[in-house]
Amino acid sequence: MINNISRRVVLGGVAGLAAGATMLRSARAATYPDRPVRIIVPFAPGGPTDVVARVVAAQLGAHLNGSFVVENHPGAGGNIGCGVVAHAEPDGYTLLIHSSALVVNPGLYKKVPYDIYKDFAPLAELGTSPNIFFANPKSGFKAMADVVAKAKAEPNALSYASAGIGTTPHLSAELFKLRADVQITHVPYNGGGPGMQAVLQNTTPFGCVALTPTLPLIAAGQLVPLAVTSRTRWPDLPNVPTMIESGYPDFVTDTFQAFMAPAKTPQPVIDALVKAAIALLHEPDTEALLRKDGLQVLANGPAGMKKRIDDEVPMWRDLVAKSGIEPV
Amino acid sequence: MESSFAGLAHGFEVALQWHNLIWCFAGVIVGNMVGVLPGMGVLSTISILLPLTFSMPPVAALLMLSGIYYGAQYGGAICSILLNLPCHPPHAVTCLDGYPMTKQGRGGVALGITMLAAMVGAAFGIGQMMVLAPYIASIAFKFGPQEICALMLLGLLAGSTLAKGSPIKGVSMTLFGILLSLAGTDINTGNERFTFGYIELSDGFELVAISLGLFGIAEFLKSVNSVAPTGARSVKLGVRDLRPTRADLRQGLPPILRGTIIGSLCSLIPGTGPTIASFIAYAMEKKISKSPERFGYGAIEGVAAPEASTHSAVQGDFIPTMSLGIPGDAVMALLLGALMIHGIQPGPRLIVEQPDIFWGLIASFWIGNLILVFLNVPLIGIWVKLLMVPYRYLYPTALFFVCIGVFATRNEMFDVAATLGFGAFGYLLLQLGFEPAPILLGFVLGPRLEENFRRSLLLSRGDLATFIDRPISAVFIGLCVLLLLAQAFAAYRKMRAPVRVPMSAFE
Repeated sequence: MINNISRRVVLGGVAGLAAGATMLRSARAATYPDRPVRIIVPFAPGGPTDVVARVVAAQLGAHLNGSFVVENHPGAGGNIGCGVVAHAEPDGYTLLIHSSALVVNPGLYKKVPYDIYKDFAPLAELGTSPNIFFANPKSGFKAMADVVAKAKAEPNALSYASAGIGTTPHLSAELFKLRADVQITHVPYNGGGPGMQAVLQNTTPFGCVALTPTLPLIAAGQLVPLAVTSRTRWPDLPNVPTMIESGYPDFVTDTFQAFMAPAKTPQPVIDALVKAAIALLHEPDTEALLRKDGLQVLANGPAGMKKRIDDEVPMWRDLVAKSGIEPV
Repeated sequence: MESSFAGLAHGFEVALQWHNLIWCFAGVIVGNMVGVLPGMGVLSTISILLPLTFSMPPVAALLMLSGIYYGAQYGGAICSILLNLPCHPPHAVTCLDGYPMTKQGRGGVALGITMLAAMVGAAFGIGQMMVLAPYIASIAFKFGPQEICALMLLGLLAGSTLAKGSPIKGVSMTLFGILLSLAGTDINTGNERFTFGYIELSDGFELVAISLGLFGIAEFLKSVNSVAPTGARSVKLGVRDLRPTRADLRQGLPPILRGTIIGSLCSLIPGTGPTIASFIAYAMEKKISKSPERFGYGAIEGVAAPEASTHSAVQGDFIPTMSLGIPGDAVMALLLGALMIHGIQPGPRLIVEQPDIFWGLIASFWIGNLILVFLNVPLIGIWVKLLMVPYRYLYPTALFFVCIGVFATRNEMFDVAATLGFGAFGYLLLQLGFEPAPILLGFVLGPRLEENFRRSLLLSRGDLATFIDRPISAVFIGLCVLLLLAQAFAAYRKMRAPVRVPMSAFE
């Protein structure tokens, strides 16, 4: 008898506790976030991704009434920080803001510490910035066709500067070489700034880097824009043709910014984050802020982000293989 | 020139507006604190404060953020000199003579000279920015990969004997430093080298981890071993002299001027920031000194030259960022990002289109540096009193901050472990009579040498003649050859000189 009662009490108690825990969890999801949320940026402070993350983090905090802290985990082209989030507790308190390296690296590295398809729940595609092909005024290049003509006339005499191995500017130039069927030597630099400088001092006659930082030098006539890699012309450079207009159909490459959570993050938390992220990206102030940082706001939700991953992982892997870059 | 002064006058109008002045003040104070605390980096501080500036007017934002950068340099030397803890890479080389000065009870003098060096270096750097900014492009453009490669070679050759003691040991340590710098991703191919499967090594070792390990931790291990069981103080850190004497000043001023010039030249060459400048200044000072044997034992020149060089390079660092829109290092990239958020894109037309920004910034440099000097000179006495804290409290506290500082550079425990590893290794080196300073030299200059060497060959399609075809690079290569010949000649004369063997050797 006593045993029975106690068993019933115990069972009931356990059931009650379980129910309580469930309620607590859903209540917690409703009050998300109730402690600081880490947004991991897999690059050093100061880069474009870091700046985007800090803008978004500050706004998310205001929208969700919590504190969102940017934490930099640089290294291995973004793989280290990306791996940290892939293996983090999927409770919504560790999130990721990453660049295109997210989808390039699986094709570029022999081994990455994450499974791009299984480890993440995409939240939003924040924005995109195109790359630009540009030349030194002394080179005489005015359009991509001039580069092709020169490369065909003197095979293997040309060199180009890029922002580094495996960056989207490097891969864009390799794509151009494949499509135009020309041989041009790649001279990698340690970032877009040094790459730009190489063309400025005519160490290489032309190069490819992210668009925004080149604008003042183009305005001052120290760099000649050849083509942008976005689908349509860039608002600040209305006279510069796209690669598509330059005779390369479907030549669209850009660097996007992704907002991701670990897979298995509770759906209510995901919903709250997606809603807040999309809302804040549509605010004119935020949009203007990001626009000045060189980012065209996209504000696509999880579906858009997922499509981007599904499209671009094979695309970049294919390009890396075709252009003879050895996976590292 | 005249327009420079008109511009500067306008700049002072901007910088002296009370809200700009307050933000400039806030920036240099925060920077100064960051510099003194071993646990904070300039880069992370600016990054954390960046969102704060979104709602600020652009001029105020820029004045504050850049104040943090140059303000930190004022504090950076303090830990190097007093505790042998080089938390900020540009001040690592200051340890070499700064800490021995402290051990001789002349820490206050070293700090005093540092302040003077800072003042002269910064003033020259700012002056250079006022006058040279419009012409920077033509100077910077003369330095392609070949020139930088040749310059780094010269730096390595001149600097490999920068430490006290045996030259052969110095050279071997330099080579070891270059070897260490090879670990990580090769920028030409993207391949990983010497990473042994550690993903944390894919970007190589952290400079802060190496310098804090080899200097700070190694020194700690050395002195903790000699602590008497009674708790008596092992390291005699005195506070005898607080201010440099007239003789100190006379001895320190020429090196300050030479360091300043080296620093400002370095800042004009793309990608050659304050850290490289300070090493080259020290090496140079030792090379031309009449008594190089004093270096490493508390020579005041060994503090004055690198410190002046750092400060002038820090101010000069702003030139390519502001006049070309090309940041020389990560801190400058961050400042550039902050300006872009405000819709201002530094570039060749900044001076004309945004005189408020450019001249306001320069005027704020004058104001900020003045504030820093007035702030820091009275503080010297207080910093030196820090040494009165008993060893058993002071060093564990410092070690704690060191661990936090190393961890915070990129949030990796790996770096803390690396620091401790380098500490143990540095202790071993000290016991065997190897000086760790050239390791840092090799580690800092090595990658720039390799990167630019391979880039030059990539551009010349493998033709080594590219280094002597270009005039500037040919001059540097010529200097390298002269340096080697001089060294060989000296060795030859030493060999030919009759060796006086004491008779006792035969007994």
